[in-house]
Amino acid sequence: MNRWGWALAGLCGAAWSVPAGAQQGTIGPDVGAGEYREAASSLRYRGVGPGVTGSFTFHRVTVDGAFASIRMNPTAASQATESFRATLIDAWLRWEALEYLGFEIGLTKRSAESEFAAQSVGAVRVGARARYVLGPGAAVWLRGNYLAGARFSGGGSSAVAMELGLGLDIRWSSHVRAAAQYSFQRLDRKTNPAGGAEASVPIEQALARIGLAVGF
Amino acid sequence: MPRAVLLAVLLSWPAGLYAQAPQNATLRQALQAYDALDFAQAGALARRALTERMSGSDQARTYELLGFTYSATDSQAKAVDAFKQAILLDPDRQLDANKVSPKITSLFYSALGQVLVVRQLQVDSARFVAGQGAVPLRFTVTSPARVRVRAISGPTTLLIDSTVVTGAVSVRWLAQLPGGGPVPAGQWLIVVEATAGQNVFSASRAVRVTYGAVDTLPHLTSLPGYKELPETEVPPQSWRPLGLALLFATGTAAATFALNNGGLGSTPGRELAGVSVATLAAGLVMTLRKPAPRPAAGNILYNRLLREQLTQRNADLANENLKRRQQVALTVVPLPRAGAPR
Repeated sequence: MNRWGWALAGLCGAAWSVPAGAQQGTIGPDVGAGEYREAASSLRYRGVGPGVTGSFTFHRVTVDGAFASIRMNPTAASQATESFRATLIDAWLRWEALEYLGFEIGLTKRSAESEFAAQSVGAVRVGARARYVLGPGAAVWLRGNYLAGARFSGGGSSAVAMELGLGLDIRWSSHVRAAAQYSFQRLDRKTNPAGGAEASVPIEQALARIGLAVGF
Repeated sequence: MPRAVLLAVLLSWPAGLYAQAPQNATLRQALQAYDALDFAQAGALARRALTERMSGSDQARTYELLGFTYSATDSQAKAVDAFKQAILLDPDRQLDANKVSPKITSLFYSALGQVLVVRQLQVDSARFVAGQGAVPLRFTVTSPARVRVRAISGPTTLLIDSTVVTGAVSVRWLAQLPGGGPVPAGQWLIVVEATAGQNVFSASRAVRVTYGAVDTLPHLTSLPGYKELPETEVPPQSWRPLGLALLFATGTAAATFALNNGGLGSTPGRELAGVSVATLAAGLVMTLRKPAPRPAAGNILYNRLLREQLTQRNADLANENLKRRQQVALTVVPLPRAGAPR
């Protein structure tokens, strides 16, 4: 078991030892639909794929995680010819400072099946999430993250890298939840291949997830 | 005798004289003679009856008949003397001013003012916590005199009051021993003794003193006049959920458009539109839905205060009951008269 595995096992063990009232978790499948663009407007992909989301809350600390595997196909107007499978992993560790505001850190990682079709990228995220209750069992949230230290499979860096999110949580019952969330990432990647002049190769990704979850 | 006086005497015949037939036969004959307006014969028979053996009650009635007879024959001094004897024998004797002529009534009151008696001694029933109440005693002293009121039970004699008075007197008996404790339960005799020079007159009344437990106060389940308020309230329906959803959705759309890199083409909208529609739908549903009850902070505080007050009141009642269980409730009841006072 690697260090991430040990950390997850330790977190689960710590959570198991506290009273049930102080903790709650959800896990469930979802469907993700996304659009990926890179370098120019002519390089555009769109796809749909399954995913899993989960969360675990312990007092005022919440860990959110999401996984999705989306088959990205070139759009009709795209000059791209090759499809690829994108594996998306996102994680957030959030501290709910106020009833409606939480500060969070986390990571994001997107791996492209084909290194030639799209960039794989990983970054650390830092940001905040504002959450408002619409009514009994329904809440809406807005997220803003800065993606720091982005690493690209093709090299380069991005000084401006941000993620924006909108989400809706619905609690049907104590054990059944539904969620819809949208995220938009922009990474202004700059690279200088072969030591030449710096080139701007921006990347954008829009992703919508809709899913169900089981609460425990 | 003038006819008018005779008529007045007839009309003023005391009903009390007919209320009970006297035991003495001579007295009965005297009363019949009075009925027949034969006052001379009535007076003679009454005087003869006094020489015979008769009860105290008959004796008092005989003197009263003599008083009436002398009044009818204008022998006022003799009438007053006869009334004085009747009063001394039965101090509580009264004339009904509505039925007896003013002339006879005035003679009767004249006699009353010339004797020293204690009249109409009354003891009211009372129930009170020892040390916190008293038994009302009332009586009338016909002449100025030193009046001593005592309570006597066996060897115990308690002085209730001692004063020089005349007329109607009210006294309160605390039913306490000199040490402050309640008087022992049992039969007590309330004695009123009036002394004026050589004249001494006393009247008494027996009472029974019993002990009882002091009533304790019931615990309260609510404060009278106050009731708890509902701790939740249903807020009025508002457009806030839809407004919030709209704000979040448009904010995200605006930020997405602002964040979009123009070099990559137009902003991707499908994903945002899908989630925004879901968010707006949720906001609309929450707007149309009946709002869930929410805690009413003011009412919760009010109820908490009310419960604290109730707890405090019950604690006070418990303390009060603790004291009451150590107290004694005295019940004082006058006993029926055994005989006429002397």
